[in-house]
Amino acid sequence: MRCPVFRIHVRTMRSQRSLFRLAFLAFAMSLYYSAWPVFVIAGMPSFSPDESTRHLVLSDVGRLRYEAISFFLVMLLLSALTVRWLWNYLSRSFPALPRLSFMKSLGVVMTWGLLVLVVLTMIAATRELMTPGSWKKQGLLYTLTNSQAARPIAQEPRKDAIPDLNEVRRRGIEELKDALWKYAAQHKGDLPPADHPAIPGRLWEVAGIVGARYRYVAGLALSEDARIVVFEPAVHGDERFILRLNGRIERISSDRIREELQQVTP
Amino acid sequence: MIKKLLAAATVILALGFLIDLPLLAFGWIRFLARNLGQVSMHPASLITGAIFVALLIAAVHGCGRSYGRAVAAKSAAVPRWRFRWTLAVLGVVVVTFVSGLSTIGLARHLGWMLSSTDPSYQETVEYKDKD
Repeated sequence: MRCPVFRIHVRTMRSQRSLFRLAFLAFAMSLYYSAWPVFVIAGMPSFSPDESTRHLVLSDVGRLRYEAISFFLVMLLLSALTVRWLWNYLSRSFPALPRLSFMKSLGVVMTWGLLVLVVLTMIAATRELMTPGSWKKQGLLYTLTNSQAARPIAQEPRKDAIPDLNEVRRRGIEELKDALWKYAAQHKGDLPPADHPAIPGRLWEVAGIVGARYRYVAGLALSEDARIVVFEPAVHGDERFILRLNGRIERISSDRIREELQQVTP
Repeated sequence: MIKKLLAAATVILALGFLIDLPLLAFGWIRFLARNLGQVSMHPASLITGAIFVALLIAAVHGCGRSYGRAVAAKSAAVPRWRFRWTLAVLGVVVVTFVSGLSTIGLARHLGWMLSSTDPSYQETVEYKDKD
């Protein structure tokens, strides 16, 4: 048993057994993992809407309106408080003046506000009467026509003409495109994730409306595909500027944007 | 008192279903944060405004003193017209105009909200993997 040859033989037997065990273990593990499909990476990904998550949310336009209404309501309430305080201060020196409660003060400022509204509406109507041809009917009131001939006679020539809003909007989305494309050029064609710091925040703001931001379909890479990658929220009416993956900037309706996004979502 | 509180709670709950109450209560902070940065000062306009306000104060104070003298001629108990009263009267006038502008702003935004084709609310849904 002490024969070196025998010992060698015994060791060889042991190492062969170990090798066999190792091979069996590797085979068993490969069988186990191949039988358990944790990740399937074949074919196109397929998604469907989760109806349980369908709900209404405020749109950008709605949020901006609510915030403006909130501001004007606060101003109205503050006005009522201030009027009450000043009135009651005066009534201490002038006993003939009645004391004013907050509700009465609110009533006074609201009545006054409505009066101002009526007066300004009358002024608007007079303005339309005094500049015939300058206005076109829009709903209940009128809006300025764009024609040069329809300008009021008394209007002075403008030295710093404001550029057309559509042009400003187009320029805004072009600037955003330049930044996105520049990022993509540095990242093998991949566009940045949403809210990536490489794109300055001001470029995401829609021209003409403070607080409204472009909608961005993140996770795409540059290609000849014509799918929408950036689009305006509905803050400038139904016709919105969009940026396609192939770099084209177009102006299309909200319905078409919705249709196109639904076709490729996500 | 309890009836009033119940009525107020009912109104708030009813409004809560219709509108976004927290946004209505605190939306003005974001409105100010967004718009104050857009405000620019025009020195010439500020100086013109200050001059006219000073003239208005002087005119109202003059009228007040004149009124005070006229009343004092009939009753010795009436004190002299005070400068604070002038400021209070002008304050009431200015603030009522601010409230007028606020009412117009409210009316315009409510009008836009009711007549606009751009919806204030939009439907959203999350997508899940079919597998």
